[in-house]
Amino acid sequence: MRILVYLKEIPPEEERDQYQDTEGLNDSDKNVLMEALNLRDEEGGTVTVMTIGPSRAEKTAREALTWGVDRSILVLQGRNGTGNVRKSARLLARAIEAEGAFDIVLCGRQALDGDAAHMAAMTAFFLKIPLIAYSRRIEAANGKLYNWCMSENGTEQTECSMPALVLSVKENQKIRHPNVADIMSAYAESTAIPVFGTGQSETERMIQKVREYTPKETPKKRKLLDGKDEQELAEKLYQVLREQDVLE
Amino acid sequence: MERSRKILIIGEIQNGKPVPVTLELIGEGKRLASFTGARLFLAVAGSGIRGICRDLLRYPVDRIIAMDHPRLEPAQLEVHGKVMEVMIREQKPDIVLGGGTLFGKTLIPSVAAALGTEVMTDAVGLDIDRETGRLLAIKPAFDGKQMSVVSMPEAEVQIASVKPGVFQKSDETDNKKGNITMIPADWLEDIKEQKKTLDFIFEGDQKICLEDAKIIAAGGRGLKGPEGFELLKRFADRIGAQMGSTRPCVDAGWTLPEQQIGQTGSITKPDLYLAFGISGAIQHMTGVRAKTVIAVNNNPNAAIFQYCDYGIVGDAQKILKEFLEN
Repeated sequence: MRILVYLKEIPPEEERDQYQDTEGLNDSDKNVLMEALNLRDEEGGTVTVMTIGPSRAEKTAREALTWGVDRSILVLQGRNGTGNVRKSARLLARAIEAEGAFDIVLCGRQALDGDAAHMAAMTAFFLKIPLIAYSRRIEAANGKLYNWCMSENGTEQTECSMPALVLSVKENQKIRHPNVADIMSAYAESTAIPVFGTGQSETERMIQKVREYTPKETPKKRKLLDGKDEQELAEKLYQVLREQDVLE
Repeated sequence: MERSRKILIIGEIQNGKPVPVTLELIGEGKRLASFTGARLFLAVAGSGIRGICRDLLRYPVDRIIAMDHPRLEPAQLEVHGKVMEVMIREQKPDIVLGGGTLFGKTLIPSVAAALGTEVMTDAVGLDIDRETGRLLAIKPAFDGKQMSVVSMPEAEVQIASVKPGVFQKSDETDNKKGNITMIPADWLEDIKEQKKTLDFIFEGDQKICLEDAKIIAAGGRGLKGPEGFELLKRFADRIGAQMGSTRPCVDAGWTLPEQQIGQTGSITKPDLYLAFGISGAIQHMTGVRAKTVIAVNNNPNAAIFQYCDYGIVGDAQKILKEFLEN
């Protein structure tokens, strides 16, 4: 099975402080990498990782190699402006098509804009493959893909042909850790990270920022409760909950 | 000012009725239309929905554009996406609004991609620029850490998806001027099925539904790990609350995605909100519109204490343990 994982987009340098929670792979990236590698262990095949971002995203692409993926590619992108996902999605789709045929394109919860499936939906559209969103569990059998997905009132079990793009929300993966051999190989001078794209910034931005927004805070008449230790504080909490008619 | 001529809402029907966010968007759409004199259209697609369409005329929409065909249920992205694309191309609205339900979050960007445009996702507020007449959306920038007002100044069709629970549901109207246009649907038979539903496990009352919860007990990083959330779950059960969490706790696998509250999770409007070990960062508090907030945090300078009615400075995990033991 050929699995492609795309990681969370790395912001341009000037937006890094406002945007990026961590340098390198974040929790969501690690989660989806573990899922891909566990799937590879079960089904056989390869895992290719794509990281989208400016040239400094090469660091994240290299870190992905330490996890034992088979190939890690940097998809070079310049500035897009917040929310202009369509161009990122089209670039990613072209990069995936250039790399060859995959059975599963896998992504985690934290594509560019948080938990919206924006990037996943647009990438699946450009690749012309099914989108399976909010999957908690993936299985492959008889050339088909089976997913158990979050839905409004429960869990939906689906079947589709491959290739497909799966947006996974599976947490609590079987834990893996990078091993020494993969770490050494990832940072060896002879290990090159292939690059797709030119990193040219987009001049045309359909979504433009008008201004920053700060919600109006309603001043609260706050009451601070004191106590000498946690037991006393817990008693104060109990009293407040009784006043709120929550406890009998 | 460029006047908006037509606002179209992508409606969603589930289990024989419109989802709450569709009714919320009708209310907000009507408000936006009042600034520009635009007409308000509602697009819906499903199977056996003619009765639902007649019911929807109780709300202040000028026209309902509807498609009724068995292929439209259960909702499949490849079918609904094509239907909405066709409806939008035919109707030529300049503003399109959709609800960010689980299905809507995949449908609306897919439709935007098909139309060759972008979508302003996860909006928690909308307005019309009084000078330009363009749609303004308040949305998270930078992964929810900041918020911005954005617009699509050159786009032929401006599209925004809105988080459920942001707006109030529309009132019904006595003035039943609206009408229904049914669109032919035979061509849906030619759309190849991409995904088949094999089974549906209904979770009903067990389903976590933070948007409707009256009491929420939420935890953050201050609970330190899964053990802290086990205590919080017991506390929540004790007081009849739903349990929620901040995004980092979901990322760490301590809680489920459905339990996430905040800019990139659920918008909640409980009577009572208890925050244990939550710093009170803006991207979380944007999702909390509670009547009363009780905060427990061991950092006296935590932002959460600016939002609360009652504040307790202390170790959240230990206080929960003491509460449950006594």
